[in-house]
Amino acid sequence: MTRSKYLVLCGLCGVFALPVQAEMRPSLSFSGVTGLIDMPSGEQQSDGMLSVVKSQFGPIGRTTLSFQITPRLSGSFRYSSVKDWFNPPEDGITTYSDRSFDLRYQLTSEGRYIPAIAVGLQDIIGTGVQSGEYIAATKTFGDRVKVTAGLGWGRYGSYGSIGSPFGDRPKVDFGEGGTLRTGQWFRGEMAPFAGVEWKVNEQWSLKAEYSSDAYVEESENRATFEHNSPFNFGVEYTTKANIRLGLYSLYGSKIGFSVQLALDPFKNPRGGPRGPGPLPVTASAAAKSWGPNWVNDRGTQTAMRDQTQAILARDGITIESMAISANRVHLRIRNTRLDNAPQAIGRTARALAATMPASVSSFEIVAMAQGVPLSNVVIRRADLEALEFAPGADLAMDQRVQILPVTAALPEGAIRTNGLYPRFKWGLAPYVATSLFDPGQPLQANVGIRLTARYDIAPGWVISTSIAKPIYKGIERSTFPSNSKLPHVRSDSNLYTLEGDPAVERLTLAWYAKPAPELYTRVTVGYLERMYGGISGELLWQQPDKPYALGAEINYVKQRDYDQLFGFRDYSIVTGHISGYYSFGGGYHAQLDVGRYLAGDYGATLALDREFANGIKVGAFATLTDVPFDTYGEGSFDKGIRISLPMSFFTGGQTQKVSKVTLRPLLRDGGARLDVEGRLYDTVRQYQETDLDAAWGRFWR
Amino acid sequence: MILRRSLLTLAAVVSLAACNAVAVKTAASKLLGPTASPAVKPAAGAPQIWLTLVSRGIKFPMSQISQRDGITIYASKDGAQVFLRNGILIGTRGLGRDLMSADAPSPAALRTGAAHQRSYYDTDGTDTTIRHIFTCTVERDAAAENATAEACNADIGTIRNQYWFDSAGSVSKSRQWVSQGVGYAAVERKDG
Repeated sequence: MTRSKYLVLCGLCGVFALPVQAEMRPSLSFSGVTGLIDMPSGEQQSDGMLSVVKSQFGPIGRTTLSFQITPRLSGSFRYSSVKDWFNPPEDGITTYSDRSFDLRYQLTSEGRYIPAIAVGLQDIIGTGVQSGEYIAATKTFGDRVKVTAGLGWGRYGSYGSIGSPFGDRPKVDFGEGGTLRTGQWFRGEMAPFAGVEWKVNEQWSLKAEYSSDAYVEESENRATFEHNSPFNFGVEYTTKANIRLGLYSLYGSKIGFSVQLALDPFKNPRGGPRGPGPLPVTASAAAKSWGPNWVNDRGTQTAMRDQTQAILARDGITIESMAISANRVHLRIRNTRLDNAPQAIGRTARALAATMPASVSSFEIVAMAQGVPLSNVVIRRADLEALEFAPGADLAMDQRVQILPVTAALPEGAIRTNGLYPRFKWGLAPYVATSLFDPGQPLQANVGIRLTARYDIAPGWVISTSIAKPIYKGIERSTFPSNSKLPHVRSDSNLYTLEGDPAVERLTLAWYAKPAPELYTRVTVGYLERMYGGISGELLWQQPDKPYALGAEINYVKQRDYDQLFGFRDYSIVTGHISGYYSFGGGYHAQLDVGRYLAGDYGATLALDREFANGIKVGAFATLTDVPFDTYGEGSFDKGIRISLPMSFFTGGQTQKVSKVTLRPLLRDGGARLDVEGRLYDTVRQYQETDLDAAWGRFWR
Repeated sequence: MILRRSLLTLAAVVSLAACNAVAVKTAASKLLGPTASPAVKPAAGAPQIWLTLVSRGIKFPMSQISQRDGITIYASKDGAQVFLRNGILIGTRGLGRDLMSADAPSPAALRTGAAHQRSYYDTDGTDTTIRHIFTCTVERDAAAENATAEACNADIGTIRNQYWFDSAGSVSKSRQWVSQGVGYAAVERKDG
């Protein structure tokens, strides 16, 4: 429920309500950054905001993904196209398309007298066609009017220039693109821009601006549209959720539109997780009596386990084993539905409080994944009773639980649940496969159906497969086949998409084990991913109470046939990495992989992610290897953006489904890694202290 | 990683978040997340209350499922819960942005009319606990001796809780703030 609606309703029912807070959410510009119509503003989005803007006027189209990386720093990735650019057509193509990346930093937030001031660098690593720098200031007057003024360079200094205070803008040979052009920043012609936004009411707002972008290349040199006037006007409509639609008049000659979608990780669209409340904590004084001899009676203990299981089944938690002694219970569980690990532990602890005899004072809850125990969360029963209704109970509990390492070996006297192995699970679901940024066809998609199946033979032993059958084939043969000078380890991706019908995307046997309390291993053999088959081995060292982990992976793989059935091509390689993982706190996370990549190149990948405890993750990665930029080809090196969106955040339901997206401006052969399923760190980390702490707010939910 | 499931999925998910259509959500919840059944069934003849979520305009009965340390938990048929300590709301589960815990005055303290502080704990969209500290004054209704209002201020705004007491000094009826997402909940004894 939106705040405004709540206030209106409360006003109606005569309850003294929270004061109406004048709020003008900063809008997004045509370029997808915080701004007016085609010009940026001095504001920024709220921390963590993720947005997608699609805009078009005349021949100019832009799709921009932006993320507020920290409270002051934001980044944007943009795909832009200009129709009628090539005349005559080049390679049969008339549309110019380009990718660009921006960074923007807020110097001041708005105060009583100080405006919000932001400085931005647009298109810092692409071809530079879009490049421009700006400094913009925005001040709010009353609660309905915002005025913006700024100075621009590059693109933003091309109309109505007032001089070049910092010298000429040097021409830069961008080569294959992908490198910073710091020498150009804030150089050359400088021009002012300005604009105003008037919020008419909660839904509607009007905008007017004076643009300092002359569209020299698009308008003057290539005549794709006429730039008749620097004045732009627009009207925007905000729906009750985070959607905004805009209609504009641009440059005195064109009508344009934009669609702005925004997602705030701090605001749950459902208010919070859905679903019933937990089982109230039963006082041990009121604990069920199991007779005098339960400590030595496996029959009674089995009954205890069955009763606990009956409670936990409601939340999709399965007991793998249970060991009970006079004052302690050691329970190993598999959480199959709850997306939040502390909530699963909390619900398990509540179930134990209801079923355990009074003398059992310590609950050891061990979460399992892939048949391997991850950590031992020790909860004192007395704390559970004392804190259930305590103010700030989650923090108090977090301080009292212990998170300990655990070995694969079961404690003495453990009762295993029968009938858990072997286990077969399968699913059939539709899928959409997209092909992005092909110069001829920037957005194409296949739609089909995917069968996934998993057979757990014994704890840690898993056979799994994924078979895709396209039904609608919208992805065509690229008119730009790979010209890579390296072995075509990734750049023939299009051929795999074309010929895989049906495609055995994956068919593997995996073995997970835990040789020591802080050491995890994985061995996977088979058709590991759509392009490679072979054998993959991995080792991970993770202490439960440390914010870092170390891993090593070694693979021998052979490239698969394009049809993704069972044959192989000639190319084979040994590839592997040493990986370091580190959590800086506050949800900032880094991963460094150093090793040998698929094309035989040596180098390192650095990935930085912003992670939220609800499972939303946004990050960027870059790989530098010993392949020279001109051998690598367009883009110079491998880089991209990755986003994880958990379904539960949107539906509030009990599900662990996560939608993962990796966006690369280009997919080429240097710095390419194997895409093997079930890597250890992601399997293990959720139940280690760092991640448990971050999500602990739901322990009592 | 190949560009599978990429932009389209992203757009679909973002628009799912954005458009609030009930049909979409119902379909999505069926598809994406089964909901657990309630943890406890109330005993036959358990005491009941009416709960009204004022801003949503819905009213439903709740039955007592637990009583421990002076705190009573009432649950609705679909498993939503409220925690009441002598009639004062100190927790909810399953209402959306839940009140996870609270540091609240007792009815006796309210009746003395003393100014006080209280804390509400809820979680934001990232499951991070947020503590809201309110500074409160108590206003007695001169006309109705058994009615008391608690007016509280915090950085997030001003709230007003209202309580009606019976002759024994227990809260018989109340209207109490839950959270920014839920608004006010009105509690009445069902059987009077």
